[in-house]
Amino acid sequence: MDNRNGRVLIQFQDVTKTYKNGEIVVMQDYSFDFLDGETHVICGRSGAGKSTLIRCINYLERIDSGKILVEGVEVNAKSARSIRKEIAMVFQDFNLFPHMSVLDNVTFGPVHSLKADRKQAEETGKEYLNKVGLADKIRAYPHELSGGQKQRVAIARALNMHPDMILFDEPTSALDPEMVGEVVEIMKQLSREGMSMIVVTHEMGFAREAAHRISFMENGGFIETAGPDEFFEHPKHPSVAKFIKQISYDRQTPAAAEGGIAHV
Amino acid sequence: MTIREMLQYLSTGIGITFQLVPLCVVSTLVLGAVLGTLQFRRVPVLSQIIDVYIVAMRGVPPLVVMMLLYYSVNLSSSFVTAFTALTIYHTAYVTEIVRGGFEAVPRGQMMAGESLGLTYPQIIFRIYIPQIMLQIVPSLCGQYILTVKDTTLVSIVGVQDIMWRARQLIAVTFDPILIYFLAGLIFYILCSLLELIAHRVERRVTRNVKTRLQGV
Repeated sequence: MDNRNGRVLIQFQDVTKTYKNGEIVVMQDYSFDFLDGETHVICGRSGAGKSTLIRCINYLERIDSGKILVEGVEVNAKSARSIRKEIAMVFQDFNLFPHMSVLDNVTFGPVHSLKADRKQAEETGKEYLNKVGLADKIRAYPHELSGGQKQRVAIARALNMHPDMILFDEPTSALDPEMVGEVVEIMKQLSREGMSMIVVTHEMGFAREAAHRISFMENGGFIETAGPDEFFEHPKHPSVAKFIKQISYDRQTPAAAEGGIAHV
Repeated sequence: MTIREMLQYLSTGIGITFQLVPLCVVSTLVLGAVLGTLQFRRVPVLSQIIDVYIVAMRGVPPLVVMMLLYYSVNLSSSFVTAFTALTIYHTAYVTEIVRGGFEAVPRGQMMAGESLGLTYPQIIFRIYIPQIMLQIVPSLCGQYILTVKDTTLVSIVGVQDIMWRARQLIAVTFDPILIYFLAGLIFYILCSLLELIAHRVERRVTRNVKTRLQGV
């Protein structure tokens, strides 16, 4: 389902980002538009800078030069907090708050950051926990949950901020293979419902099924961006072709076949 | 003079310790929490100054701190001088304990808090402090046992504590070994009690919190 309306949500303009005084280049004069309602998958080899790229959007990382605009507002120290209220994030390691119950994890952001009414936040929080299939866990603590459950709580926590977009930073990479499916299913559902998402992932099953566009990151930017069919069947860049070939090889290995979803 | 009478006379001096230690616990906790947070955040210039202070306190005996304070600043009473000196000395250690506690919290907690649009104070007070509070209790107990022991130094600036009373007794009985043994006994009981509390808390922390903080 395509919910895209062509409106640009996030705009990178000639962004350069380096580490260690320019020794490691993550982005080099990188420009790109992410669209409203779009599910955009970013893949690439580890160390290509995919996570850094999306962390720059909510100012968890600072860029060296250029501009990032979120709904027309430039990302900087001043705008960071208001942008973070609109753009939620789901992390690889879940990063739930261990001293809070599941429900408190989900309502903490709305209550303390958005200054929402606690009752209301709890109500919507319960709805979202229900949506991710954890209605029976609202009183549990994070340590009592499996990895897949933790990540689903993290997604509910993001949703309860009522964000305009969710950034997913390798949401399934820390999960045991048998738990990848439950998280991916929820992400697919969000995508169908038209949530704007940028997803850094190695989960090619998700990319193929849910993504509107897929980008491959290498050498400081996207070397290829295409719809899933074109990306997987007719990759233009040799680097991408090689990457896809490696993935399809991995998919045929028994472990991956058993899981049903390629986990690279 | 019977041993019982000696113990009675000495024990009244322990009142000073009972006054000094709770006051020091409060002052070092408040100051240590503030300085520890600054150290964790590495505030330019300020953190460098705190570094120097901590290194200095680590390398200088508390007695020297007390004497320096006594001769350099004219404080209202010897009790205030003793309290201030102990606070200055032990705050350095409490600062380090607090900073260590903060650093033991996974970095992802900061990112998660930031990504929700929370302010830095909100993240510190509502995400970090509740997580480290119980975990640093055992280290703090250890530090406050040292504080109890360091209260034996205050007679040097004229506070009439247990050691001051011990010297008075010796002047009468001419039995320093017995008197100091009894003084030691009183401190041993006091510190053992504190250690017991520390142990209890530590066991509870290990049971409740550590499992909760694991693997999140």
